[in-house]
Amino acid sequence: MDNVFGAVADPTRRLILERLRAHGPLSIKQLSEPLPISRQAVTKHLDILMESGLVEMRRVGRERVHFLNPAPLQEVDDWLRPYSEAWDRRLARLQQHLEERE
Amino acid sequence: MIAAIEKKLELDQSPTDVWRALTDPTEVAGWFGETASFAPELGDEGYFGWESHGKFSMRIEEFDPPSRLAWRWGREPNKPLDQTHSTLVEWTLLPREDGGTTLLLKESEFATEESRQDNVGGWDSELGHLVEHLAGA
Repeated sequence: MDNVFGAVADPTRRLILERLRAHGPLSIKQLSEPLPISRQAVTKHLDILMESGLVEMRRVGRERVHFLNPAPLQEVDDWLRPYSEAWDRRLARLQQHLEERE
Repeated sequence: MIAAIEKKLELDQSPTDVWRALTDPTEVAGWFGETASFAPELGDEGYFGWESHGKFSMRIEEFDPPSRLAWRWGREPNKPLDQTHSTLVEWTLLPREDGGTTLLLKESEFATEESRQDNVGGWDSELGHLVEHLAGA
């Protein structure tokens, strides 16, 4: 779980995830182009993302492409759920409060 | 750092009525916490209280009746408000044609231990989009 939170804590890594989500599989070259950092730095970020399971790599001919695997994000979603449920209870009470006031 | 919570609630009451329930401390204490102390105006600081948890500091950061309200509140009880240990709660009231209100809630700026250690700034919506994408996949 810490791996996933660590992976998404960095803005460059979130940008990489967002691009893979929006565009589908991309090579390191394609991922590096819009980023103001070196290809080596992008590779390091991709290593961290692959360790977390959020990004997977596949060889296509001579090229290596990276693609998004959103499954580990379920852990983030699960972590957030208790906060979300607290709001469901409060909003239900707000609705009840408004109805009782009438 | 974590995705924002977003909720939507359809209410029969008018935006003016809903606004009062969100901004009159006596009313807020009726559904949100057990006690609420603040003046309904921009910039005011107060708290939401729960006997079992303590008092959570809050500050009104947006106040535009009867359509937009935002408050920041602390994650930990009995402490002064602090930008890095607080979340932002935003309310949007949309009038419906039948006189009711569509109420939108967003709570954002959640932080994890990891992000505090990394000293990373504000959260953006990217992960939220990803989680939505995941939910829809």
